[in-house]
Formats: sequence, structure tokens, C-alpha cells
Amino acid sequence: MQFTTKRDGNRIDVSVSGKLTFADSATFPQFVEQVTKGSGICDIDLGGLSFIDSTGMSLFVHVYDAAQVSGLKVVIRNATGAVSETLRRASFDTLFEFR
Amino acid sequence: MSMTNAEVDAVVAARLDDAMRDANGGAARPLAFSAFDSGKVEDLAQFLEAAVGVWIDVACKGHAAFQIPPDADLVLRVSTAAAIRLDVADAVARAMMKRFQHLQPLESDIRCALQEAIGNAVIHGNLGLDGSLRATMEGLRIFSATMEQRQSDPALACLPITIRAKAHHDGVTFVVEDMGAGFTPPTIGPEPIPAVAAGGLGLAIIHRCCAQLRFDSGGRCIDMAFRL
Repeated sequence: MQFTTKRDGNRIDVSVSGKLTFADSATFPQFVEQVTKGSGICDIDLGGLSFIDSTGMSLFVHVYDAAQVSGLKVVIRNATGAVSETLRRASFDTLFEFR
Repeated sequence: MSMTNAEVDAVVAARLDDAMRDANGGAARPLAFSAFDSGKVEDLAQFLEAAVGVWIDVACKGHAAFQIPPDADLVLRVSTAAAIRLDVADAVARAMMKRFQHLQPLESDIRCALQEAIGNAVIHGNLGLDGSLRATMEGLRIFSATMEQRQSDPALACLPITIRAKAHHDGVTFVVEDMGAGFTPPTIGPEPIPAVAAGGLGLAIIHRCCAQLRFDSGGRCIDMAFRL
């Protein structure tokens, strides 16, 4: 998995690509810390993500928990195909707004 | 036997030859096998396209020839380090779909279930990590740091994960085995998959993807049957 972040005032845009799996576990704390700083809007673009497993999904649970604490609004964008299906099947669309 | 992409020393080669002789003695038909060095492989899927029955990663070192299972269409034994670095689930699923095209309707479910089984074999099996740590952010930091530390430990990084597949006219069976401490599998029902961070989600996904699920060897071995 690769990710980039771009901060503009109280807004942060995150782009995630590749495959998000157990193999990326070591990077999760860094991802959560970078993405959930602040209390504005966090827009996570999953358009470049081709696969996600259960460990990858757990990353978004931590993003949700951290956002609840800081008051950050998180939007998931461009999740398609198997990624969208997997996240919705595990009810992540009840945690985040999907666009 | 063939050697692929690796300089395999004579002792390892002899041990693998002996192991294959034993395995083939119990098999319905002999399997060709290939030893390879996962450290030199970038695209495992392309690698597995060759019509070889048993693939053994020499990075498994002393474990490479340990109980090679007979009676399978495809056996892949990879080191824990390779299972982290390479997309093993995708490679194995694609190799089986290519060899047994009637299984293609099952590819998506097989890919998902294999990914979860291999992830569990690495994290909870060979690396012995406690998934419940991930319930909190502080626990996640400990979990991630411990994972990095353990996957860098050569004694753990070389532990094998063995995947074997057997095709049938109406489906396919995949078995994933690790060398960890094992566990007592929980009872999993057909409940919706929960959005949780602490673990257990992977088994729920496997349960949803396959027709029949069974554990052996004290939880070190998961046997997943998929039906057309």
C-alpha cells in the first residue's frame, strides 16, 4: 500500500493505492497519526486501491476512532469494485460517508 | 526435480529429493517439484505459471523439506518473510484458475479466503502476534512495532507457510498450514461481518467465502472447501 497526504488549512486529502493487507500492518500507526490530525475534513480517496483484507479494514476502524475523538469528519471517496464491496459488506458505510 | 531461480546447496537438494520420494510414494501420480529462492522473486503469479506441482522456497531453510504433503494439485511452501513481501494469495488463486478453468467462478471467494488464511498464518501463527492488541491505538503501536521486530528475526522469518490445493469436478479445497502455537478456533456463525479492529474479522470473511471450514493440528492448519 502507498499513501500520500496533502493538507490545506483544516482539510486533509489522502490518496491510498495498491493493496491494503496484513503486510502493511507496520505502517498503520503512522497512517492514523498523519491522517487524523486536526478537526476539519479528511477526504480519503481509495480510487487507486485494488484490494483490501480484514487487517486493512481494521485500519479504518482506527481512523474512525481517532476522528471521533478529534471531531474530524472523514469521507471515503472512489471505493470501487472488490474494495467497495468488502467495505460495505463489513458495514463501513455506517461509519463513514461514502462518495 | 528442477531448481529454479536459486543456487540450492547439495544437502538441501538431497533432503528435498528424499522428501519428494516419500511424498510421491503416497501420491496417486508423481508431482514435479521446483526449489526457488523467494528473495529473488518479484512476481510470484508469473512464477507459478509453470506446470509444477510442488514449489518450495529454500528460504524456509531447515523446514523446506518438512512433511511435503502428497495428493495435491499444487503445493507452495514459502517462508514467512516471503508471505509478507509477495502476494501469495493472488498468485496461488490465479495458478489454480489457470490450471482448472472450471473453477473460475470461485476465484473472488478463493482470493479473499486465502488472503485471510495466509494473513492469520503469518500474524497469529508464525509471528505469534496477539490480534487483540489492535483494539486500541496504543495497542496498535505495540502490535506494529512487535510485528516489525519479529519479521526481522531470521528464526521466525524462515518459518514456512504451506498452501496446498486440490481440485475436484465440483469445487476445490485449499489448506493453509503454519508452524505457530495453534489456537482454539471460535465458533463462527453466519452473522454479518463486524467492523472491528481487534481481530476475528478474517475468520468471519473466510466462513462467508467457503462452503466448508475445518481446523486441524491444534488450529495450525485451516482446511477450506469451495463449491461451484
